[in-house]
Amino acid sequence: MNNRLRLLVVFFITCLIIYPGLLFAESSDQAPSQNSTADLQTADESKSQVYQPDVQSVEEMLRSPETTDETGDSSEYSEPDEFSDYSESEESPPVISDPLEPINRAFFVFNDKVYFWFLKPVAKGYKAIAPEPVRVGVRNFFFNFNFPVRFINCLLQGKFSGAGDEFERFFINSTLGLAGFIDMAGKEFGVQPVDEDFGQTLAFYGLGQGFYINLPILGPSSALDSVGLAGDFVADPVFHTDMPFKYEISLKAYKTINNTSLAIGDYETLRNAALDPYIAFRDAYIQYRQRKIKE
Amino acid sequence: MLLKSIKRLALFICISLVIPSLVMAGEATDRIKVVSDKIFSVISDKTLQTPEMKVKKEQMIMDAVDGAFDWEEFSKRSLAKNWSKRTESEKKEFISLFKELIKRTYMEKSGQYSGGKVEFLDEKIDGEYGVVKSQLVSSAGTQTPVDYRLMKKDGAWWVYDVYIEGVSLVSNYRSQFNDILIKSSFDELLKRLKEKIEKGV
Repeated sequence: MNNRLRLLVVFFITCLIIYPGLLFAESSDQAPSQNSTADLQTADESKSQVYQPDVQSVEEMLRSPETTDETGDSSEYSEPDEFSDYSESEESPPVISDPLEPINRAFFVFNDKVYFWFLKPVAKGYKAIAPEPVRVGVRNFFFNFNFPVRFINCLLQGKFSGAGDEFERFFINSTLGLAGFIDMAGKEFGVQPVDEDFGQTLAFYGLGQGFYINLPILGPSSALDSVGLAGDFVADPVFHTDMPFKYEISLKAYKTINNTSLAIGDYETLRNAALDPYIAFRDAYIQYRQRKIKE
Repeated sequence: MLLKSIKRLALFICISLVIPSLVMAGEATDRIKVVSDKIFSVISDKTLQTPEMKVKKEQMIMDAVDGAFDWEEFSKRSLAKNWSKRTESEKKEFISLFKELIKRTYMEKSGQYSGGKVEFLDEKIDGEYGVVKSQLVSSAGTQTPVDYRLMKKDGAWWVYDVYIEGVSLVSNYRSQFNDILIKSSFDELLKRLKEKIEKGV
């Protein structure tokens, strides 16, 4: 237990130290990181051209309606500016740099296999034996159990009413909701969860996402959110029990299988809808996080 | 069998009782509501669930969607600056392929919501543009926020983008199309769209 804690703290601090360095390296010039991906391209030089239009095109589309005015019927493109009042996520479509693309793509394929060859069959088998209300209950239980993560991060971001809501939910659901199996707070009292995590807290204090990382098993993340994940792991009550590590992992695996059994088909939808699933998930992840941070 | 149909009927009655109370008034919302009501009636219609009726069922759903979705606007926005460089015939081809791709994917998905319901939460209008916020609630109680972006054209509201869980469909495709266009050509993009559609889901 003590050793593990020490290891995690060391990891966490290392991440915090490395992180600004990574950010700096990334923002000063993209050339060094781009070289690693250049082998995918025909020539080294084409790559630097390759990356630039990516950012430019989106900005161009948003900032200067004139570029699309050539056709005459495209003047509607000025809309994001006029409409920016409540088109929160449209004012600046989030773009993330991806210097690790070849590695990320490799892990994307790996995770895809893990899903189709392991997670999905297991979740399907589990779905066949466990009735839906049980699985919903288990999902609620794990969600309720993870209350400290949301509570702490509400507090860290100064969202006191959110923290209050979370506390209320935890209190109601742990008692009336039978240890969290029933979401009484949400159903009967209309108190909805406030889903905050360390990644959002770090972003709240102005840290950028950094670059995109597709973690093995854990899936899409960013430099910032990977640091956040370590924080979430420490704040997770499971970490503070005297449970042997292998049971902790088993518990997390069970939680994942249970949640997957309630969402079979969600992954496939976006995957099958995409021309390039890797890009689709990268974009979806960054859009999703951006929205969470703004909430 | 009988019990099941009674259950279905009870659920249907519950849904039809619940939906009106949740509906927010508004032109844009009404526009979406017409579409979602049609889709729900199609996917809960027992006579349309047989394999022989699959084509007809899909056609009915698609007709409903076409009534409120502006596919040209979807295409234009997902190609962004690349749109103006295309010829009229290229644009036409792209629109029909893009529509087909989205249709194929989300048609499968619609079946999963036969026991669920849709709740309209909010509507915001700013001149020619509007947002309708809704959420899909599956029978397991999973809530999926779905926001529709609409624009007014010739007095009617048309959907030009859909946000599922805060993720814009148009932006998501834009990032993919852009990546393909940077690495290869528009013809390659059309080829990949065709391949994807032929391969099916």
